[in-house]
Amino acid sequence: MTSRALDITTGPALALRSPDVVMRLQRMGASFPTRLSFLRSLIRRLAASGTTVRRSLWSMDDAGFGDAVYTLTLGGHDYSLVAFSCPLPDDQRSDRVIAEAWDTSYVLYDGIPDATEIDRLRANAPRQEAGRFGPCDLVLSRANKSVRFFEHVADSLAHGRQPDRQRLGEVGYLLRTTAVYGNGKFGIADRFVLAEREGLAGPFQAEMLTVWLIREFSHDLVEHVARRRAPKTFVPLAPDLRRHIGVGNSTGLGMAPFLANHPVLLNNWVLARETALARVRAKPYPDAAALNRLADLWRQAALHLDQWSVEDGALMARLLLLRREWTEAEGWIDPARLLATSFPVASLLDRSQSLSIDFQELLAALIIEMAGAENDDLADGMAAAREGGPETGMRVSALRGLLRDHYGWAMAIAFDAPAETAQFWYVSEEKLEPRLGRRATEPGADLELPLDIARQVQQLAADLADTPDGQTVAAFLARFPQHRHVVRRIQTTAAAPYAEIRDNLLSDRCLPIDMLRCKLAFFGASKFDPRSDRWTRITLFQGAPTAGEITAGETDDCWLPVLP
Amino acid sequence: MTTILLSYNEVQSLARKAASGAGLPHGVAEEIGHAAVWLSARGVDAIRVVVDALGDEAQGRQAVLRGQAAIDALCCGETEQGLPEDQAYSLLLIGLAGAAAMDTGLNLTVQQGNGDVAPLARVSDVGGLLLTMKTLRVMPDDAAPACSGSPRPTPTDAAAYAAALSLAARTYVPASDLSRAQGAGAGTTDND
Repeated sequence: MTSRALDITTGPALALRSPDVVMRLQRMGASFPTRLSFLRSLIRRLAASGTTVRRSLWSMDDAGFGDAVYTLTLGGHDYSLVAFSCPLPDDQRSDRVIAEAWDTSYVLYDGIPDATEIDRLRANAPRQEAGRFGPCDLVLSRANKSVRFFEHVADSLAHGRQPDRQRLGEVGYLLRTTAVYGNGKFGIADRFVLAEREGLAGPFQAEMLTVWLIREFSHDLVEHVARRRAPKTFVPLAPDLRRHIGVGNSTGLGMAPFLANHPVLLNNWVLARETALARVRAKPYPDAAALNRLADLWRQAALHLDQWSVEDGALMARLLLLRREWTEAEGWIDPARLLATSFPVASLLDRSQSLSIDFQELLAALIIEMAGAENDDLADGMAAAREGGPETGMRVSALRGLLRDHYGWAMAIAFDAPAETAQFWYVSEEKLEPRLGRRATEPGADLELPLDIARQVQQLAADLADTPDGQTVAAFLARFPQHRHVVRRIQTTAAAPYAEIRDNLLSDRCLPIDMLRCKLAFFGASKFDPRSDRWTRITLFQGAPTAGEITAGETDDCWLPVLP
Repeated sequence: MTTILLSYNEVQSLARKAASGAGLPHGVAEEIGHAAVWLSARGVDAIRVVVDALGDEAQGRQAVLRGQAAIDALCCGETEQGLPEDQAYSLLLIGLAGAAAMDTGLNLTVQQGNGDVAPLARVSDVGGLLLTMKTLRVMPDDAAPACSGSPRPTPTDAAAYAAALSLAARTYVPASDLSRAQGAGAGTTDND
């Protein structure tokens, strides 16, 4: 069998954090974006390739309804965002996945669409899941306006004013996506089409490119509406404000099982991040420039935290604590003192263990940021091919050994306690999306999704108990085919230490928002704004270069945006 | 015949869900998904194959489980050749074997009645194999390049597609009021 986990030569000196620490839901739910996040990788690739964005079609009426096409060339291929803007009554504007109409819809097209192709997409893209797409369509998305803020910006620009900075800081986007579909959904191109393409081979790069172009479209759209409203007094968005307007996103349970269903991919993401952290930790004497940069980033993070407020009481309490801890710990990072300390980064990380998990994870992200480009090579290994089948020639004794070495966390869960099976995951008939139910009060537990990894491990262990050591996995699975999935997972995990979320996803303590934040942080999201323990709003590309600025590369605001 | 053009991801996920709906264990249903991709890249309407094989559920499930076990035994060297006798399921089992060959890199071959062997990794059109297949066996590695198949799946018969959706729907749960109240976008105005 081929191992598909990321193979990183870490060297003997690198001390990676234990999966027992890193892969806990609470810590995953404290994730911050890093330099290895996917939108950051995209920005660097766009900058390195000297990308220019051409707006080849702009056919909009005075109210901003019509079609637009943006095209760029990356790695020798043309890609076009085909955008449609339509009138939408307020009572149909919903972030729910069950919505059937949106303010705007998009397709990332492989090439440059002609009029016939634009007509085809106009007939399908606004219908989203109800439409049908083909091999030239790479990504499908839609977004609704942040209506009041969009109107505020349009009105301000029309009257010769810039938008209110505080409102801009509070909202941060004009459009909010509610889905960004890739990899063959609804007939669009399969991911393997992009896997060999220079520039879009990494995870979610086509989706990130789509969102970056949607952001550009949102800036142009609001300026268009304002200009048509009052051409004589109109002013364009100031560059610093334009840069601070990202794209919003609403994400719910549909994304949560992804991490459990793609263990090798999850491993590769986390292993890259942890390797980057361990490399910096292992430096005995970082130079003065690096330590000065650490201090600068510390202050930037403090400003970011001050500008990040949420309605969610639980997260706001955590943010208040984090702000206080961050301020109190500022003395730790005096460059002169750190210069005189051996292994200063290791020392900082060790000291942080006495503070909150939020503090620890923000510090980890900051340290990766401090190191700059020296870890960018790790981004190249974050994609994964499909996960293989079980290694059928393995002996049962070896399988038992893997289970013992890597699944102690699963064997320790007491499933006879009702709280440990209080929830169940299922696919909703309504929109074919994953959902989470209460076992005691909701129907459907007999159809639950196999996200009960720890319970499956225990059931496997029970059936392995009476199986001879020398029996092959093939013979075992012939008797117990119900264990095929978990056997494959266990075999995979031996080479992928960060593959498993080391918590019980059925427990009443399982909060899906933790999985969402982990995944979204790898995307590069900031300003997490939970609306319950099951869905959140976020902002993407806030502070990142616009199309006009992309050749200059990343800004520090790409990491944690700060309103200037 | 009306057909629908699916992506490989759609073929894989629909075949997997249909297999789950027909009562196969999750891990085996995943293998059915991989088999469907392999078949549909080689001239076969794989959704039709899955629906036909699992239409008679109890018999189909048992045939798939026996076939998967036989392929596992081949792959780990416990047996030298094998395939269940029931020809009704042969195409799906060739798909499972083809996917296993791609996954393991083993030179799994179809041995034909006249003694010729056809390495599954090099097959570009599965249809012809069925008529002459005698058994499956693992042969020594050969260095011949593998056939990656067609860039898009073989078109799917619309009736088979509907039947597969129907099987898949057995795994879905009606939305409850509670789930609606807690889903993304719930509980706030979206006109902010």
